[in-house]
Amino acid sequence: MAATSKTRRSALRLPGRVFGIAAAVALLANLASCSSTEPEPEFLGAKRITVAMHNDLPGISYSLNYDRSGLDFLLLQNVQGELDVAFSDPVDVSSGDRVTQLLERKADMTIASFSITAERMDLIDFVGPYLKTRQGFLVGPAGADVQELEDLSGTRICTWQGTTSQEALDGIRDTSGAEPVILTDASDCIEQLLTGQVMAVSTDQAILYGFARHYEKEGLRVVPDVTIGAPQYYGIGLPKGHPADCRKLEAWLKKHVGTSTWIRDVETSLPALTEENRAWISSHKPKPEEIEARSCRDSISP
Amino acid sequence: MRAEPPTQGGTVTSGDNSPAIGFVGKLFLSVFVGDVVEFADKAKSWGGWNWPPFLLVVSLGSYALISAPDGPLRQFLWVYLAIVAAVGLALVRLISPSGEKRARHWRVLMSATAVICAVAGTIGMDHLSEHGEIDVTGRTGITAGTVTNGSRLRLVVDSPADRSRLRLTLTIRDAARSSQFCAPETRYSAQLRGNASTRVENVESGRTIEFPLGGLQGEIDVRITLLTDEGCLMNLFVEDAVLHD
Repeated sequence: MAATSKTRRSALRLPGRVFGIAAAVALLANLASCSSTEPEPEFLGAKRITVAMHNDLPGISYSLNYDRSGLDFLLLQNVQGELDVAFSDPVDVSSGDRVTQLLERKADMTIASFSITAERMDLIDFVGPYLKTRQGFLVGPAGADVQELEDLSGTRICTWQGTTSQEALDGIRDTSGAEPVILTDASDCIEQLLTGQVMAVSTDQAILYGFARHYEKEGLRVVPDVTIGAPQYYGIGLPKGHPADCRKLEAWLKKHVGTSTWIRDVETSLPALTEENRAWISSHKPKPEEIEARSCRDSISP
Repeated sequence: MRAEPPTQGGTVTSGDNSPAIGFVGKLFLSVFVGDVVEFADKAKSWGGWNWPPFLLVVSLGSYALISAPDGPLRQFLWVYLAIVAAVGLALVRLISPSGEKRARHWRVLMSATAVICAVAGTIGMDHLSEHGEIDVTGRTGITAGTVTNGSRLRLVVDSPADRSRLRLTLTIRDAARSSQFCAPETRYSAQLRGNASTRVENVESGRTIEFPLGGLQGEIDVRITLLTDEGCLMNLFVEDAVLHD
């Protein structure tokens, strides 16, 4: 009798179990379908962000055997950690192609020691600065006596195309009689410096300190306290037309430059700069109001 | 079959043989007062007492418009509105039919308001001639060329100091646009020549400053010193210069 009632009870439970399993399967299937139809996150109108970077600037953005290093690369890693979007492997860019690559949308973002200028702001948006620097001079063993700008008068000074350094260098042609030499890229200038064809290389000190550390054994050094031109503000270049994404990145950057991560990244990437200038934070760290005045602006109004 | 041109009271007002009143004139009259002949009939019924206030209002309004000084348009807005209201009310008073006793009170009120508006407009214009703003932007010159940190510039207003204050707005722009962006941090200090008490400091691009001109003899001469980052090349422009009381 008891066995009969047990069998009957199990027979009664069977449809309930079947229903329960079916419901669970349906729920799982529904969840799976939900996750597959959920839109992929986008940034700057793209589901996968391509970042353009230099590959020939030690300490700033350097690539050796597909292994990237430098301050720009560390900044990219921080940006990747902040944004909920997929990133492709960075693509290489030369100084002269940085604006074009963004305009033609061959890259969605440029982190390449990219100075914010009034002219570039007409074409693209910037988020920055994430570093401030000034144009200086890198000399080799032949320039051991160079201590001030006058010591470079009458000499050949090299810089490369597509940078903001050319204009200031043209300016000292008249004042000190130096002869500017404009080559294709950074490695050409360094080669000429190492072979003694030019007396100095002139560009942003942040870049020069990277080279000085990289070629320490060859005796390259940055001439301390000798600068020309206006201060340079490095920004992240973005195509225009994405104000919300631009503002999001700006808000993050304002917080980021105030963190110890930013200080550690500069110290790790540019040890020659931070060791030589004890007060480097006050001269190289951007203020929030400087970031606000330069980020995501269509016009050059302050 | 062609339709006959419309006639009224035996006078042809349109068509090939109509009097040369002019199409535009007829159009204007037909839009605002209806048919020309009807308008003429109405005009006959306007009382003689309607004309003096109308003519007074038109005379005052004309005088105000003729005596209007130069200056920013916005300051004349209320004067022009008063004149338009005065002429409009006087015209309505002129063409409105006479009749009821009650309507007569309204007509008197309209005439009085029209005259008051016209007088207010005339006095207002007279006041603006004496104390209104004078736009001297086009007569203000500043030292030309690229300037750097610490550069001293001279700004001269080529106009007598006819008002007690000068309102000035300068714009600062990057001269080397391809290699710098220094405008956000660039400031200037300014003062009237030989009057240190008028000194204003740390002025950013686009900010408006004021200088008291009381007792100033001769031309208005402002001395400006630029403060920017070392190495920045800048340009200064006069965006707005206005004399006012």
